Amino acid sequence: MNALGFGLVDASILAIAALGFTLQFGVTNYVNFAYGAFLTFGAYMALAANVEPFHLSIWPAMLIGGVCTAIFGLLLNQFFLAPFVARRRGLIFALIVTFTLSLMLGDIYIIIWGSDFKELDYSGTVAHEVGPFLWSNYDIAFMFITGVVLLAVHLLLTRTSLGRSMRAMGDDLNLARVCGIRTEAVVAATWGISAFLAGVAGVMLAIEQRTFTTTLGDNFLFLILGSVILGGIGRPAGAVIGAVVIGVAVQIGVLFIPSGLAPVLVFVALIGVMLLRPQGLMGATPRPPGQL
Amino acid sequence: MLKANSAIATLVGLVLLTACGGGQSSSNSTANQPINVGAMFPLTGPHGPAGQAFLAGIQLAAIQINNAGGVMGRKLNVVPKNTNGDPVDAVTAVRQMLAADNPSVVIGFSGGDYQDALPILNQAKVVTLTDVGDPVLDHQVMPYSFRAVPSDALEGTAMAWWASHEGWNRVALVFDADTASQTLVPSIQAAASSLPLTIVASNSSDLPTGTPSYQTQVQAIIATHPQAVLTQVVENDAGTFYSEWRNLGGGSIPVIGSDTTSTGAWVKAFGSAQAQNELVSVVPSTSTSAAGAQFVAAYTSQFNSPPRSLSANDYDALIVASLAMIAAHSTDPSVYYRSIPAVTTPGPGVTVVTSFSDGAKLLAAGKKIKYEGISSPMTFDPTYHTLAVPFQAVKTNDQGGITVIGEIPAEALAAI
Repeated sequence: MNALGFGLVDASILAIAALGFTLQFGVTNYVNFAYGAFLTFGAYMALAANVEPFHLSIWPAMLIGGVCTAIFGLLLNQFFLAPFVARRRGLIFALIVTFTLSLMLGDIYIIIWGSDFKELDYSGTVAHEVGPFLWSNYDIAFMFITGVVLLAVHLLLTRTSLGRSMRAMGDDLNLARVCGIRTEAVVAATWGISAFLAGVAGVMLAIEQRTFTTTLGDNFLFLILGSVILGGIGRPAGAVIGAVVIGVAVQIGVLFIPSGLAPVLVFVALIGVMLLRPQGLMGATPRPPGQL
Repeated sequence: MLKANSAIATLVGLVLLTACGGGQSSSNSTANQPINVGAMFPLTGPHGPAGQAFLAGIQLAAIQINNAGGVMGRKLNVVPKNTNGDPVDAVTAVRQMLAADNPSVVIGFSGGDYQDALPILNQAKVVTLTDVGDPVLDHQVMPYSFRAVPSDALEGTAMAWWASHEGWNRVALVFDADTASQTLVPSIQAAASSLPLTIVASNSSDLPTGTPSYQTQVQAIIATHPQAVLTQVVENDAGTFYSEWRNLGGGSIPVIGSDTTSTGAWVKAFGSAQAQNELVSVVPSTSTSAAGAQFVAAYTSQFNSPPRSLSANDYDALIVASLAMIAAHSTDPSVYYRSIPAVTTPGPGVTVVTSFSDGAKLLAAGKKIKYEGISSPMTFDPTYHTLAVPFQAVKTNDQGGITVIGEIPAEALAAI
């Protein structure tokens, strides 16, 4: 049962990251391969707030990490990605641009922050037995934060005009534009929200791992992609379900297979879903050809 | 027609004169040109931090050699190339270097990137001093290739021997999936069959790098009640694994690491305070601890961080190559490679030196020298160019300071 508990903790971090990734894809319709670098940015911003020079406690530092990453994401979209996408829209083109951005950011991070591992300043990790599970106080806090974030995103998408605009653009960009939705503003807001979630997930991941380097988010990206594709790319609820499946499967899997093969479980699950339900667990069933 | 022929003859004459003059000029300038030192490391990706630190070891050696007057008056120029820890990228980097930089020596590589690149360099008659511990190379003859680290087969055996020697006969294996770590595992398993040693947990002998947590693996290992853990994981994962290890109750179990775990950076990741009680590292022996302390101080002062596991090996490697060039009076690798044994082999009438400047002075005076490194004695097998060394069990503090707590004799390892 403990493996299930550990998996739920991993899933809580993964869910926030996957949610941010899929929200951005749902609105812009292209994959952001630099998303892992956003997580890393959040962790290093929190490091600046938490260690040098500001020495704040870990929770305000997490918020600062998220806000700084949101601003970073907005600026990157405005001055780097948007001009490219405006010139040439297309999945492969955007994929190459964001992949290149990811490589650039990785090298820039090494120049700025060095290649040594870093550590956030937090203390008082205490293990608690909660029913059949063994969780630390930080594990419990992560799951609580994830619950709050999921509720907030749900309310955003269902109860606000921004959320309705995001969903409309996800369904049909041209129709949304014709209906008067200010699509560029919605894209910018989505980038901000997506990057905020990435920043928060990055700080949580840095706490969970204790030591981290500039490859923090890149190492996590394949789990994020796995969760998003498993749940149905562009589907917020699917990303969360995908995160739970992958987070739990990886932790339980190592009880039965060598640890080195645990990441393979992600790809096995993906191949299975691609074969049986290509649209993902929560994706809409494709319409038959010729049917509106 | 005559005019045309005269013009062509004049032109050809001018070209020949220019060529002769150019050749003279080129010859003169070569004597003043720096000697290129290829540095092949993973400078980005998961192994980027370690690669940067290994590169720094070479850079420190180059600074000290240049400050001491260089090699036969010529300065060393370190040319870093990124292998990304990948064999394909390493081949591209090597081909670029051979085409553009004409290196006199190439230092670096790791278990994950050397496979195709090393034969290319050997074929091009470029001297290499590598960080490759892969036992696959233990019995390969490559005249221009030397290994600045002992074989992982020897190191793994030494780790197992130390556990058995301490009476810890039930051990668990905690290794990451990197090639450099994985090459240790078979030798530990082989040694366990010869020693009174039982491996009670091996499911974590190939941990994936960079996962959010290892709590399930940690709990599974603790449940097998090992008396000790044998380990080599990258620093970043060590921070994750061993903090969870302590949170879940494994803190009192001794941990035996490799040379990778003997650095200040690794100790910090493990937990500086806990390392003094829980961690022992098995490293190649060296009798030059004073020189080692000077190296750590110089490195830390130059780069504002303590050296990592192989920084010292790469530092030694460049000094060995430089002394060999001086001994051979040539920077041509196809010439001076024969002098590497001449400056590293002990014997009667040979003076042991522990620095480049001392070695260069003695060579200039016509003396025979043996360079003894700070990472190991740097005595190469005459055929396979491997390092056969005794090992030590050491404790390291988070500044890289080392305290020897026991010896592991080469004869004991040979008997296993």
